[in-house]
Amino acid sequence: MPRILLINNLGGGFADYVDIPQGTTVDQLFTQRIKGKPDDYLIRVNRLPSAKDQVLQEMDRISITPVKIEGA
Amino acid sequence: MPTDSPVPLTKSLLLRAARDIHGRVSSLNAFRLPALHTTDAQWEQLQHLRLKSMKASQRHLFAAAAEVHWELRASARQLIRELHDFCSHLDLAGLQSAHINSCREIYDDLVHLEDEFDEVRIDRRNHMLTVRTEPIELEGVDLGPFDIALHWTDIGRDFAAYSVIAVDPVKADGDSRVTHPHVRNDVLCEGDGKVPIARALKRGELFEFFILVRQVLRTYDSSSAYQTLDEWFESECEECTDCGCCLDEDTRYSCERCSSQICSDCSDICDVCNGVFCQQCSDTCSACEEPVCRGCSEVSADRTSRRCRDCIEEEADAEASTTTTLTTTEETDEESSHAQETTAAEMPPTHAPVHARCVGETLVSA
Repeated sequence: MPRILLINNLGGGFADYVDIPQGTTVDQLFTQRIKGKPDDYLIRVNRLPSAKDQVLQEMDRISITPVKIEGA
Repeated sequence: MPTDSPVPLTKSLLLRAARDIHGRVSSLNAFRLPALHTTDAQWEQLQHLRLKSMKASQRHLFAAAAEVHWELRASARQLIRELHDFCSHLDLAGLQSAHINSCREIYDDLVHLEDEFDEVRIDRRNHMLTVRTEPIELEGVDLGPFDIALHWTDIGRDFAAYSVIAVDPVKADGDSRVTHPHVRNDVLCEGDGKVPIARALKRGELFEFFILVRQVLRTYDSSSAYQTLDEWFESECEECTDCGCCLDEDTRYSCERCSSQICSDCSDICDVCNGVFCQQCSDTCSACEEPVCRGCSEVSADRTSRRCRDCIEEEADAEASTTTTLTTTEETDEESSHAQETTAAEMPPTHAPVHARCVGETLVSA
C-alpha cells in the first residue's frame, strides 16, 4: 500500500502520512476523506494542481485547501 | 518588506534560506522531555513510609501502622498521578512531531512558490521571505496586489510572524489603516484561517502557508469586515447636487452663490462675471441667450424673463445714443440759423475748439 502525505487545510487542519490502496485516485481519496464538493477546494499533488483521475503514488504529497477561507 | 532591487533567487540562496527556516521550525518542534518535578522526592518519601509501616507492624503498633498505611497510600497515589502526567506529555510530544517539513521539503516549497506567485523575494539578512499576490479584486473593487512578508525568526511567537502589505494601497474611505476588508495595519484578521495558518507555519509548510493567506485575501465576508466594500469609497464619491453623478477632483465645481458641489455638465459660467454657478442659481439671458447669474441679470418688467447686465447696458446706450442724435440735430439747426442772423463781423472766426466742458474758458480774440 502506498504511503502518502495528506495535508488537510480544512478547519483545524492536519498533516499526516496515510496508507492508501494501490491505484487510489485523487477523486477517490477526496471522497473518502472530505465532505463537500471538490470544486470548493484547491487540490494539489506535489504542490501542483492535479486532475481528478490522477493516481496517487508512493510518498506523494497531497494538499486540500478550501477555496474560500473567511477572514474575521 | 521587499527591497527595491530583489536578489536573484539562485539555488544557493534558496538552500540557505531553507536551512535557516528549517532551523527555526525545528527548534520550535524540538522534542522536549517533560520535567519530573517532585517524583524523586516522592519516591524517597514512599520508601521511607514503607519502612516505617513495616516497622510499626513488626512491633505490633497497629494504630501507628494504620496511620502510616494511609500516608503510604496517599503518597503512592500522588506518585502515580505524576507518572500519568509524564506519560501524557510524552504522548503529546509524539503527536507534535508527527510531521515537520524537512529542509529539502522547505527548499521545494521555495522553488514552487516562484511558479505560484507573481514575485518571490528572500532577504536573508532580515530573515524575510516575501511573495506578491496577483491583484485582488473583491465584488468589483480592485484592491491591487499584496505582499505577504514572512519574518521567519518570528514563527511560533505570540505575535504575527507575517505582514500583509498592499503594494498600491486602495485604502478604505472610513479608515486609512484598512487596505483590505480583512487587513488593518498590515495585519490579516485570519478568521477561519487562523488554525491552519498557525499549523502550517509551525510545521514549516511554507507553500501551504502562503496559499492559505492568499485564499483568505481572495475571500470576502461582509459580516466580519473592518469595512464593507459597498462603503469602501463612501465619501470619495461625492455626488453632484444636480444630476447625482460621482464627482472627482477634475470635474468638481462649487456654485459661487449657494456653494453646492456640481459637475462640469451641471455648471454654468456667467457670461458677465465669469463666475461658476449651479443651474438653480443661473438663468439664460433672453436677449443674448448666454448663461448669466442672478447678480448679473435683472428681471424684465413683465417678470417673464431675465436679461444680463451687458444687454441691459447696451440697450440703454443704444437708446441714449438715439436720443442724443436727435437732440444734437435739432440744436445744430437752431444754432446754425441763429449764427447766420448774427453778423460775421461782430464775431470774428476763431480756430480754438469749443467743448461743452470748456465753455467760458475758450480764448476769444480781441
